[in-house]
Amino acid sequence: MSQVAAGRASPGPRHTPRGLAAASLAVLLVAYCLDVRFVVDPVLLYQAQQPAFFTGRAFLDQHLAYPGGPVEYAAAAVGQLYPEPWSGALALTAVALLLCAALHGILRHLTGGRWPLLAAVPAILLLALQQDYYHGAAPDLAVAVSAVAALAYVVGTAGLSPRLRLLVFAVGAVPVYCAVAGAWAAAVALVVASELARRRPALAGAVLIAGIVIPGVVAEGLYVLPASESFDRLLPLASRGGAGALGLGLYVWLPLSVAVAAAGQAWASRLRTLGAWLQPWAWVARLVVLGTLGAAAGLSGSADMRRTLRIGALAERGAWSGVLAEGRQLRSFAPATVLQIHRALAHSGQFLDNLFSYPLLSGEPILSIEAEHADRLDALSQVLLELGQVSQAEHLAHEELEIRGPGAAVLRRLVEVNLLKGRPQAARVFLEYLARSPRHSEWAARYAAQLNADPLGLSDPGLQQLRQVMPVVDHAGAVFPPELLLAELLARNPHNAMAFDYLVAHYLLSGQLDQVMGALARLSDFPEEYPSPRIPRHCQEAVLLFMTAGRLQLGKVPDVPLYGRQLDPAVVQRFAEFSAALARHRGDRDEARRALAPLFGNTFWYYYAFRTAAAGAPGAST
Amino acid sequence: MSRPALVAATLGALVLAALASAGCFSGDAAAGSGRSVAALPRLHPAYAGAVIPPNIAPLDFHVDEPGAGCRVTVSGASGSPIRVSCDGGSVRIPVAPWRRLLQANVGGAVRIGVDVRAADGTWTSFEPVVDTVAAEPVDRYLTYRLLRPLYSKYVSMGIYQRDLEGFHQATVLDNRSVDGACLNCHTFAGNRTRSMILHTRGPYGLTMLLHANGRTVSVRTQTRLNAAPAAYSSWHPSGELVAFSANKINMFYHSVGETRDVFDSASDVLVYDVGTNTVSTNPQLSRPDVLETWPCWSANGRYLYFARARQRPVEEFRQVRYDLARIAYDVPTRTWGTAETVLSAEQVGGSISQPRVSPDGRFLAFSLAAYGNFPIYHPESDVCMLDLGSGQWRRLSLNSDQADSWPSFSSNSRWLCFSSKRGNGLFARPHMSYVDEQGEVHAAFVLPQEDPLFYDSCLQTFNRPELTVEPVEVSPRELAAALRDSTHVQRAQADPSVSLEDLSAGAAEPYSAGARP
Repeated sequence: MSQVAAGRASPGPRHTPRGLAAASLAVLLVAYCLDVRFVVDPVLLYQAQQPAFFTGRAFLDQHLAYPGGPVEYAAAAVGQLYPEPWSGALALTAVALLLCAALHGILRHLTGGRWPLLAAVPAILLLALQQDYYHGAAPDLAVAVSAVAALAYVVGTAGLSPRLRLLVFAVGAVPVYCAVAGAWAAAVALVVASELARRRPALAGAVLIAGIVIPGVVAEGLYVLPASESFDRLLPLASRGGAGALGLGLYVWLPLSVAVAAAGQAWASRLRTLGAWLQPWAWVARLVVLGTLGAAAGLSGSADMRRTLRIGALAERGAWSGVLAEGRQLRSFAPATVLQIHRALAHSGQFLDNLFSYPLLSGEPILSIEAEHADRLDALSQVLLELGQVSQAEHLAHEELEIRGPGAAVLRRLVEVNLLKGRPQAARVFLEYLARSPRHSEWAARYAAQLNADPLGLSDPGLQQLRQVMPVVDHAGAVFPPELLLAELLARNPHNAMAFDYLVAHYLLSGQLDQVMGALARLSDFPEEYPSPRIPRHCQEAVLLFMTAGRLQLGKVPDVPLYGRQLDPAVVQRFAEFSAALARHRGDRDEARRALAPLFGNTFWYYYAFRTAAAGAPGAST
Repeated sequence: MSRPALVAATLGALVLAALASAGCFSGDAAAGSGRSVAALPRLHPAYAGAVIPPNIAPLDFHVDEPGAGCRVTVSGASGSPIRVSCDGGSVRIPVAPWRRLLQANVGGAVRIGVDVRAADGTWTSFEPVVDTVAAEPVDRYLTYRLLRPLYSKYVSMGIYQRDLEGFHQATVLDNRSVDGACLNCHTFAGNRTRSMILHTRGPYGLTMLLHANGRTVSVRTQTRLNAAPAAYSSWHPSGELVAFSANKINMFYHSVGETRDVFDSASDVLVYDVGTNTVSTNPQLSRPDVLETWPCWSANGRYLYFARARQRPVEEFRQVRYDLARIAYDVPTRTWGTAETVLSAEQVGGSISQPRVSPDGRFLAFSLAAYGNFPIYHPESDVCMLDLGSGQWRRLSLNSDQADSWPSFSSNSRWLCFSSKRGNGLFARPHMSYVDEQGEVHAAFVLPQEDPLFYDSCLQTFNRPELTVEPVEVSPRELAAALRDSTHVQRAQADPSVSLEDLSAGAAEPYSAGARP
């Protein structure tokens, strides 16, 4: 019987000096932690994943009702550390450490040698997975728990007969599967590889069959799920984009590393004969390769993704100048980001001056009560609330709540919505739920104390302001086009500057020049935002375009009342330059679009001519 | 419980309360240093003055009075008193002693004495909360649909069953088991679960899960007679037939008040024959110019009650008000009588929906809203009762200023269960109320929970509470398997004797309430 097949292996050849092995793993994990802290940034992970965690029985019970729930529960708890960057980085590093240590333990137990570099590869794959901000901690934690379970099996059953080993595996499979769901595949792969390494193919086959069958039985029997869906959760293979490939790589690597280590036993023995002086250099070479791969993984994230998430985080804090600064640099973007940029423009009084300096969604209404993705629902709901469309904000908030679950932002919004709608007790239900969130309990307690003194939030200045703009005359319909939503708000309160800005922006985006001309009369309703004689830049651009279009159609310049306001000579001059540049490229639309973008890409004229803003291009909807 | 008995029990309870407030009972607190106040303690949920079933779970509650601690004594004229200390204000009464106490005081009263300890150690005793224990038990199981307040998207929902004698909630079907399908409108035959249906839509299409005669199948109820699948349903007492409505439902939204609303642009009532797998109807139930919906069989199965209104364009949604109508039916010959209006929308000043006949056949409970047929979205909706003997109807005293709807009766007709959004206006909670022999309905109380603060942070709404005397006999696994099994879907057949021309002929005269269409 070979050394490997003899159960607990006797110490074999040393592939790596003891101190060097520990040091190399430590260096890698420190690098991992630093990358997560400074490159990935756990704050952005929090922004992307919005992990919600609540104390109490109900939240736990929800997670015990499906396979993988316990690990998702634990991952949600880990996610609460993300807003503190170092805590988040350390927590994620701990997950990586758990996986690497478990794998190393298995390799060491099987071969008697140290395999720090083989065991470190999963950390590199996890690091690459962290670059996809929507990946979530649960699949990683699940695979780590699965690897720990495999280690427990390998070590704990070392002296047992094959039958007993199979029995232990089958018994252990149930709780582990319940905890990790599809990630159980990692444990099965590791155990099968271990048994093959020990030259027990029959047991390996039995373990493989049991590892596939048991989850199906548990899914059917315990969770009333079809057996065919037993591996659906927490197996990252079906993830979008590169995450799926990386997940597959991780699941392939785990058993492969066992095979490599087992095969490496004999090879390492021969290597030892090459001379002691060669070994450290070979090891250094491997470390360099690993380090290069690690660096590539650690820096593989998308800058635009990070910027998009930063915009979301800044918008939550109302840091509008930050949103606009980040927004200017976006090259690809998600619809929700555009909505946040619009909010920033509106709140900073630049909507009608700089709308076309930022990314736009072509062919989409500026506001809608229809959306599918939680991020977009969240942004739309928030902007509708700020505008005063409380009922529509409520509608989208509930859609978000259903799709994403009870996150802090949506719960807070529903507290406000229900206070505004005169349902203080419903507001308290959301508040009580939020009070169970460790991160938000303090805010909830403070708010609840305020409500004890002022049950309807009448003294809350933010709510007071919304009460002055929210509709009081009911309008009913299945569809609420932006024009209707905004006109309803202006009918309620003609001084709702945000609604005015959005309405005129809607006219601009939909090319309704005549409506923009009509809106000029209402500028006087906003003396603070638009003191005479100022006309917002994009409105001036629309006026010039309207006059030119009229001249071309009617043969004379139409009379456009400016209500005592004036066009900026610089804008007039720029329009002349735009017209001349456009004329130079007549007949080649694509060339004109490229050539005019640097100088005029931020103008309404450019948008009107090419139906796009020069800044950015739509990215994948997230 | 007869009316005199109930009066006697209530009087007894009042006497108990008076004696207690006069210090005739040696309550723990009263015996020690402290003071008594002539007021009821602030508790939530509030159960004061309720008539409760003798088999209900403990009425756990939270003491909202300020203090450093509290203790509670639950007692009655008979049986051992129960002493409970508070856990941060929460009072959890042990199940077994509670059950014994209620059994010992059937037809009498239980009183709940609350003493609150101040920070300086002095005790304050409040007037006891007194509840009457009815003689008649409530059906042991309550089945409801649990979901968040939904709009157009749904992810998580399920149908659950609560054992009312304790706090255990079992899953009838969770939509995680069926690829997130929408589950709705669970319906039982005669407060028993041997015959039940529930409807689903989602990845497995629009189907009715039918459990009858010991087998469970998925039934596609759409036929040439009904483009829409079965929605609101009612089992015939024989268990042979299911009357159902087929509705073209449109959701729309308001900018002021309750945001959600529902408009039916078309609807008909049809009958599914379980034995022959056929769907049939009658021109009087499927008029193209009339919206017929919310069918409900009478207790003896000789009449089918339903709501109907003249069809209108969606812009006139506020004018769509449903009358209560009925039509005679003879099961052996499968023949229909003539439809007649029982209670018109004009008479009741609103729109009638969700009719439910009490098993003893004496009363018909219904929901009354300002318009439409989806009262759960109408804060003004109330539960009303029609005396089928006298024809008199009344709005029940149990109603609140928020939506009260989905009435249903226990098998002994003594308990009325309904969903109410009272207190918060958004989340419906199951409530129960005692109906005495004269049809008087007593103060409602919310379904007790083990954690008295449960409702305070519960983001789910309880819809369609249905009482049954036995647990649902079909397992979640069987229901899920039947829905997932696409090879054994049962496609209902249209009754060959009914033609679409016959149904169109019903539109010859315009509909008007009170006139026979």
